[in-house]
Formats: sequence, C-alpha cells, structure tokens
Amino acid sequence: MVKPKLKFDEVREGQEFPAWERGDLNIELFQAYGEASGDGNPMHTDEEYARDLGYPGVFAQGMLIMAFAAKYLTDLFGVGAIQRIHSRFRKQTWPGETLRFVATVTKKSQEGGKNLVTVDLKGANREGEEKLLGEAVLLAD
Amino acid sequence: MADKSLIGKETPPGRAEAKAEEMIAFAQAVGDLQPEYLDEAAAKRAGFQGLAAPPTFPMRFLFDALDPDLFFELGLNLAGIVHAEQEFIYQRPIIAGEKFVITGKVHDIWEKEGKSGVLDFVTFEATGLEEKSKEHVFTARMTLISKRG
Repeated sequence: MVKPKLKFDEVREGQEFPAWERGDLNIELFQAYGEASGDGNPMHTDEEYARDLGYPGVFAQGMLIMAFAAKYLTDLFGVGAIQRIHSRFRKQTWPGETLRFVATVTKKSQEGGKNLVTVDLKGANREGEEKLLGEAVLLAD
Repeated sequence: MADKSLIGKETPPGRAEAKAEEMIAFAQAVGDLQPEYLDEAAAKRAGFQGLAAPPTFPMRFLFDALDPDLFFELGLNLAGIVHAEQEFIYQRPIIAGEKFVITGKVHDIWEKEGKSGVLDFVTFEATGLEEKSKEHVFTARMTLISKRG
C-alpha cells in the first residue's frame, strides 16, 4: 500500500516544488552505479576508453541522472507515488558538475479513484545547461 | 536502417527476480536512501509487503532477462548508439523476492534527418508480469538513437 506524502488539495497547477541539488559526481560514483545497475559500458567508467571514443573523459550514465530525478520526486511525494516517469537525456553530465532538479505541476486529475499530479521535470547544471527533461505522474493523498 | 516491419515483434519471455541485496545496493549507489528501500521492517511499517525497489531499479535485470536476438535483428549501427529517452510506468512498486516474466518488444521505429546524417530512433518496451499474482506491475520503454555508419 502506498501512502502518498502530499495532499491533493494542497497542490496547485503551476506550483514549483523546492529544487534539489546533487553534487559529488565523479568517476567513483559512475563505477559504483555501473556495478549496482549492471550497466557495464566502459565509456562511463574508464577514462582511456572514453577518450578513445572521442569524449573528453568519462560521463555519467543517463540512468544515474534519472535515478536522481526519481529520488527527488520520491522525497517530495513518498515511496511508491511515482506512477509514470519519463526522461529525455539532453546532454552528458561530467564529473565535477552539480545538477539542480526542479518539478513544476502541470496538471491535477482524478482517475479510477486515484488523485494524480503531473509534473514537468528538469535537471540542469549550475550554468543552466539542461541534462534531463521529463515528465512524471504521481499519486497524491 | 532499422527494419520497420519489426515494430510489434516480441522477444520470447524471460525471467527475472527482484533480489533484496541488489535493490539495496542500487538504492545506495544512487543515493536514494528511503527507509522503505533499505530496511524491511520500515517497508512493512509503511504498508508494503517487503522491501520496495527504487523506480529505475529494473535496469538491473532487464538486459539479462531479455533475449538480445531481436535487438541485433534491427541492424543498428552499434558504434553510434545513444540512450535518448527512458520511461517507467508502474501499477505499484516492485517488492523484494518477486519474480517476473519479462517480455520485450519493438514498440516503435522512426527516422529523422539530423545535422550529420540520418538518425534511426527505436523504442523498446519491456513489461513485467509478477508470476504469483499475474499482476502486470511495470512497463519500461527505452528509446535509442543510432547514427547511420
């Protein structure tokens, strides 16, 4: 059973939730994610391999950035609240960058007895370069 | 170029298990430290039947569960592949110990003229059916872009 954290009545369309920042992005993190996720692609974990492919070095797995976005939404709405989450990976994320995630309510709806909140999701670095754009549908109380 | 006649084609069903230790390692690696992901007692207090999995966790088992033949049949230029989009749709969270029948299929194929040539877009879909309850718990969709070589 999912117990949503947010009250449907207290959410309004256009509302922007407090942003969340994630730093400490480095090759050790990409290696740890590679191991935990089973994503063995060495362009995220091996500097030499990434440079041979023509990149300046390793960069984060897109799915790691999506996992951050899911954490941000779960902190706001509660475990199990995510009904749907969609991400577009726009640009690579490099070691040393800090990403800022922000969600904005675009729609409130009630379907099959569920209170649903749709948000637009954005993850960008401090210079405003967009890394992840997405949308999610979340359960409210 | 990707063969559009493959749209709708399915893989043979594969099997996967949501293992508690892998779920915990995943949550820790991504820094998503919800008590319901890490501590079974906390998950039960919150009303779940066991440890819950983070929403992007299926990446851990999807590739292993799916027969890769269909992917190779598409004939994409493997050197030029980028993971462009990802989607998860949930009926409810995945719970530790659950076993799933995973079926993959080619959801869509299209192409676009890019600045440096033609790009092939392919969306794969994987569905997870929980073995005991026969509940369709999740759908995952992955869109890849492949630059023609």
